[in-house]
Amino acid sequence: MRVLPSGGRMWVYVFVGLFLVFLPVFAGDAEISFGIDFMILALAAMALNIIVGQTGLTSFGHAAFYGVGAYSLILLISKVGIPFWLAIIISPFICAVLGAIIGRICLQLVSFYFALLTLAFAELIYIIIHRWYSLTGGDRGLATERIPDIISTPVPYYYLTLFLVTISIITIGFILNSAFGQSIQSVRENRLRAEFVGVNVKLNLLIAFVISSFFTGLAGALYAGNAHTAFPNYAGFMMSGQLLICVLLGGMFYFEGPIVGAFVYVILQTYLIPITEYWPFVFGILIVVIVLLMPGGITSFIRSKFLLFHAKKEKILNT
Amino acid sequence: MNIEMALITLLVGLAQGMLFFVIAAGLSWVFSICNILNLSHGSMAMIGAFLCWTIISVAHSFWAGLIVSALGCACIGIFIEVILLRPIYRRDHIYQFILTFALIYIIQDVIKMIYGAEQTMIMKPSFLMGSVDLGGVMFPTYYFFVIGVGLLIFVLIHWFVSRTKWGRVIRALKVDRDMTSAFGVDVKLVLTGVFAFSCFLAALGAALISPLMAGHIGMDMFFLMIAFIVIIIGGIGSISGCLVGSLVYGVVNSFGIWFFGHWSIAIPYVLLVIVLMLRPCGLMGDPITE
Amino acid sequence: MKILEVEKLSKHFGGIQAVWDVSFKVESGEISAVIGPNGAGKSTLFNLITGHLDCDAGSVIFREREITGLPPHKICRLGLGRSFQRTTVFDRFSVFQNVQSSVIAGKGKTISFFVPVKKQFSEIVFSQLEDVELADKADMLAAELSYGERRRLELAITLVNRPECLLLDEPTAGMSITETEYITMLLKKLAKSYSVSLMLVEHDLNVVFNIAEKIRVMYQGRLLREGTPDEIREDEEVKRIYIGN
Repeated sequence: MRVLPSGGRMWVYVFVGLFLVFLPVFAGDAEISFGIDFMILALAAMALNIIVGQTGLTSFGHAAFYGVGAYSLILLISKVGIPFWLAIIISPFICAVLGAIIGRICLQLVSFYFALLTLAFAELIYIIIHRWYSLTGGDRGLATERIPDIISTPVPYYYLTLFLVTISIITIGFILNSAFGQSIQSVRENRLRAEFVGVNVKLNLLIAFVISSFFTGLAGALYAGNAHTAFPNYAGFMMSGQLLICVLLGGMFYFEGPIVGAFVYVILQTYLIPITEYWPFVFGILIVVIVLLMPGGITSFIRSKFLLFHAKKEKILNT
Repeated sequence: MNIEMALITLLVGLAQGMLFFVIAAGLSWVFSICNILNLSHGSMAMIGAFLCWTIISVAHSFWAGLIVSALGCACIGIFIEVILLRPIYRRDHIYQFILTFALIYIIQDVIKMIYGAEQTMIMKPSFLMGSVDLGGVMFPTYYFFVIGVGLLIFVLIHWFVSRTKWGRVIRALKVDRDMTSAFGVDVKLVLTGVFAFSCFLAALGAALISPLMAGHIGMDMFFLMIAFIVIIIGGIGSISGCLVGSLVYGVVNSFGIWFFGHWSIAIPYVLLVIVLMLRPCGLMGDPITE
Repeated sequence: MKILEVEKLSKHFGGIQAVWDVSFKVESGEISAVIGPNGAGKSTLFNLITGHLDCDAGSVIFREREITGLPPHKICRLGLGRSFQRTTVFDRFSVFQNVQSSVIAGKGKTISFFVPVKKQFSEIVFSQLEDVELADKADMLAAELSYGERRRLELAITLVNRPECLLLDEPTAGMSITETEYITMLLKKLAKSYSVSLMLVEHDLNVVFNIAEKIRVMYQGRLLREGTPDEIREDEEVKRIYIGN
């Protein structure tokens, strides 16, 4: 399973990267806003795939970190008085600590039970956020006006997001490509054998979980920074489901899978919602189709078509 | 809280617990026999509640509403199992999670399409309205009815599993699917049957709960969470465990609302976390093997 | 030196006593086998020694250090390796990656985040692959190998860190006669050149009498007999439990 891009795929990355850098030059506010949402979701989905794709465990709880990241940012800025630039760095660390606690508890179990326990935590965090009215404002959300003016307009915030998301994804790439990355993949392949070659499975999975929660928290913080508000539905089961859908849609077996999935999701969300009020229905059908027909997601589908094309080309050239 | 309140709270807890048992029992089997985490189980229950309301509006019969909605859901369940779930039985669990999760979206919107965003309220059948006087305390009759129905269902299931041929097949499937099929059992048929049965019970439970709770769009998640908690507490694969778990949960929840008020909605999740941490196989469930 | 000492190990499951009061000592460099009818407790014994199961009573001492109760990955890193009845390898990893993962874990270098893993420890991995004659298949996925090749891969994985002691659970199960002979020869050769103590659980008595210097017989959870192949071959009790009354 090739994780990182090389050769041809590298050029796709460069092209996309350049496109993103120059987007604000020729696009309007709507497209820039789309770009910000896409990049944040891509980061969150990439972070989730550290667990889902690399370790093989399904987590329904990642929205907890997304939500806590968002609320941490707003709370740090509005109630503690920390400047935005510091708050955006501290928030992911808060989520990492939460990830260590939740991970320590959940990783004792596998499969169904792990999924259920992560789900329970996601809902618990949602409830705490929702009901702790004095701290979080409950349903009304928590807003702040103290975001620096300099990034309160779309274009600067776009570049801030681009910068942070790019470094994050590159970092994740390095981590997945390292000995650590291979060790957690080995746990996915055969947990028993991983233990019996000397991998400290519990510790490695926990570290993966903490890294994953760190970056998910960063995504949530970025989102709140853009919206200047945090709402309870940033946490909760449905948000977790959204992240999982991105991962599945794009494909969990390739590094860029979650990015592609996030892109498709945001497109669908932007253009589907205005068309019909029954967009969850369309989404649901789409997911069912993908699970049944394209389980590897879009990236696997494209790759298999590409390989097929190559094979045919070879055949033609050789006859 | 005085004795009278405590007794009523207890009765409410038991009745609710019994209803949760009916809703959740099927899910326990789907877990342990079909090996599927069916996230759309709550949605099936919700269909049952709405369907029951429709039938009662048309046919004016509570009993018709119960039976037809339960059967209707069973049919929907058969459709879902055959078309959507069979292809993914042997795949990684994540696919099952995501597919059944997508069903939540689909079913929610279909209900919205048909019924709009209104809430539906069912009246109890007239002979079940009113209360029973026990030792000076007035207990609503409906609760006793519900407890009775739940116990009857439990007894029927228990008899089925321990005394009939198909019951033995189900127990065999729990242990080893391949071996059972090697004995000439049409495993696919049985799995479909189990799934349909779980939908039947879910719908029945939801229909029975309707006079106590208005049918509304968020019902699916509500039922789903409770079903999970109940089967985890009781232990997966054990119907008796499910009963015990439901009753325990029902009573704890009922008293919990008194003591924790605003925060009582967290009770199910806190319980889930505690049980999964301390004894993941629940009170009476099959031990967990990796 | 006694490389492995097992003292009064016991384990029960529910009402069944799987292993009961088993004690023995393994010499350094010894090639031995554990035999016995099905259900005798051989695999359970291995699970207890390697930390996969907690024992109810007794202790395990490896290289004069108590390892009872340690988690499997720590025991593995101390030099006690294990292969399984069902070939346990990393299916979607390449042959190279399979062995490489073992090297990295064995050296305690899994917690390394920023150095690409691709070429790490190549020489060690290739050298090991050559010893089991899989070097030409280094880039193939483990899932694509034949059954016998997967067994050899598992051997490579367990041997690459030069454990002092290796427990092999039915290494020749499901193999043809030629494959069995090949594996047996390979085991003998590598045991000598790597100075590894081998302990096999085996049902194929030809292999056992071919390779083992010492044989331990288990029956119904107990260690029935311990001796050289000749002694065991002549033993009336052993003959009886195998052939029946």
